[in-house]
Amino acid sequence: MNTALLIILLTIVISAGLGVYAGSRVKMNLENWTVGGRRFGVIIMWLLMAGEIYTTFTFLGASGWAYSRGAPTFYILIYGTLAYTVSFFVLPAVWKIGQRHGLHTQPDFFIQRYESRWLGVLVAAIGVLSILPYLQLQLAGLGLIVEVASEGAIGSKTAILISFVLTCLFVYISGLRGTAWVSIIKDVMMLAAVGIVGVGVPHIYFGGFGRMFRALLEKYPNHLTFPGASPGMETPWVMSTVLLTGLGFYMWPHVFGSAFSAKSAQTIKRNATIMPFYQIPILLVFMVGFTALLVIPGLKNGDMAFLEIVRVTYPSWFLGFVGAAGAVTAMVPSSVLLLFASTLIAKNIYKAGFAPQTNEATVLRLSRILVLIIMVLALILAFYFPRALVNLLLIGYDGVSQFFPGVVFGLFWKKVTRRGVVSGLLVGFTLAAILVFSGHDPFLGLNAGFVALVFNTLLTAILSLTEKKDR
Amino acid sequence: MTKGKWLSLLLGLIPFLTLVLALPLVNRVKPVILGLPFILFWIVFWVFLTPFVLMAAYRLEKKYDSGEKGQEQ
Repeated sequence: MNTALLIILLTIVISAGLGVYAGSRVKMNLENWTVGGRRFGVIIMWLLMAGEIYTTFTFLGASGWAYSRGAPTFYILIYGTLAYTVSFFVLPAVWKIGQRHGLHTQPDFFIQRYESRWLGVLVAAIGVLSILPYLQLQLAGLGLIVEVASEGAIGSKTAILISFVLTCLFVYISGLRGTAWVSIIKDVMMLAAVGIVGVGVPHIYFGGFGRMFRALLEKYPNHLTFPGASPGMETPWVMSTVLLTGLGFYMWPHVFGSAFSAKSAQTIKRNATIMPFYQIPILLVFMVGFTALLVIPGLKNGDMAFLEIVRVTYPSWFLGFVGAAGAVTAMVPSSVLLLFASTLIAKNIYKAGFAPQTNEATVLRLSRILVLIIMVLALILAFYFPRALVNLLLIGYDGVSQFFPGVVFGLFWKKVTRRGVVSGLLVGFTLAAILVFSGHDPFLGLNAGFVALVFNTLLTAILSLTEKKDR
Repeated sequence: MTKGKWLSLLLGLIPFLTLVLALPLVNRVKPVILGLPFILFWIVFWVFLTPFVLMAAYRLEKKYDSGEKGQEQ
């Protein structure tokens, strides 16, 4: 048995074991399962948030974009920073209303604020439709990473099967607490991998960042300014994209929901102030992508740049370590996506839409059964129809970002009305879908989701201002 | 809105000014600073500074709005 294989398998099993252990000593109810009993402090919140935010896309995608697109990849560094700034002002208010009314999910918030169960069902449906393709993306990434990192010793399907079943197991038993604990392993391993490779690779081949950039500019003089190697991604595209993704970031149901797990509003505020530090490692991920472009040009799939350059540079056990880090990096976001997809369906679609009398114990039981059902469905999709949800992924961010006016107006503007929010949401979502699927993204050089969000916000505000009060 | 909230909101605009609005002005390679092309240096610089901006905002809110702290916890 080779060392790489051993490192990968051990990491997966130990992570899942820790996830199971995390919740095994707690008497489980819906509150403990979905929001960790609302008891997480600053450190564990930081690890959890970082754990669910830095996904396989951060690993493969940021270096892949640096490799094949150049400067547009910088948007990743920016939008996270904007998102944390927004969260500093918005999330504490979300947490307070969650604490006051015992909310667990994002649709719970809409139901509470706008007194409409059906708005909750709508928000939950858009949420689930956005989460599921994202989950598939994590699984595909996981399979790819482990297959390459074990140099074929573990096939992609085997890797997905083992790690996803174990992930489902710890979600089933421990809920969000499991995710938080596994995040510790994930964050440490990923930071180590990114730190070693990100600093190492430019030094090994060029003797430092500065010389690497000089070589890059000599060979590709336009690679490091917008639009880099992607003609559609001019500066206005970057500006509108960072605004859309920065505002939409905490509108993902699983990220929004995790905010409820904090122990106080102050915890969230303090957490938001230190989150941007977590962006710095992404700079190192870019370095890997840029170095790879010079050292191993011509890769068909730029997303492979990170793993390929590790493979040609380092011994195979280290490739295994990177693969193991990549596997946990997929497991943590998968677990939280799975957790919230299940809760959204059980609590906000089944209960809110069809069976309002259902009690919390039954909602928890149903959510856990849904974890298993989604697991089976996700595995079938991953194995037999890997491209089935790819189109939905295209509008994931555009879709969830349309919740922004409903959330922010709902928290800070008394006059906002249900009719305004529902109309804005539907128009924004439809407009984004039409623009994206008819090939009009970017639209006039701007991110199509951003255009939709502007219309959505204006419509929500205008309808709210003009609506006559019945009462 | 309280004075602390206003001041912290103003500080909160800084990342949006520097990392969004200023982008057309900084989209160039020269001068290279600390080995980084200028655009990347600019972005990294402000990303690194944002936590300190937010910490200042946190302090200001505490300083001016400590009267309502009772309901915060």
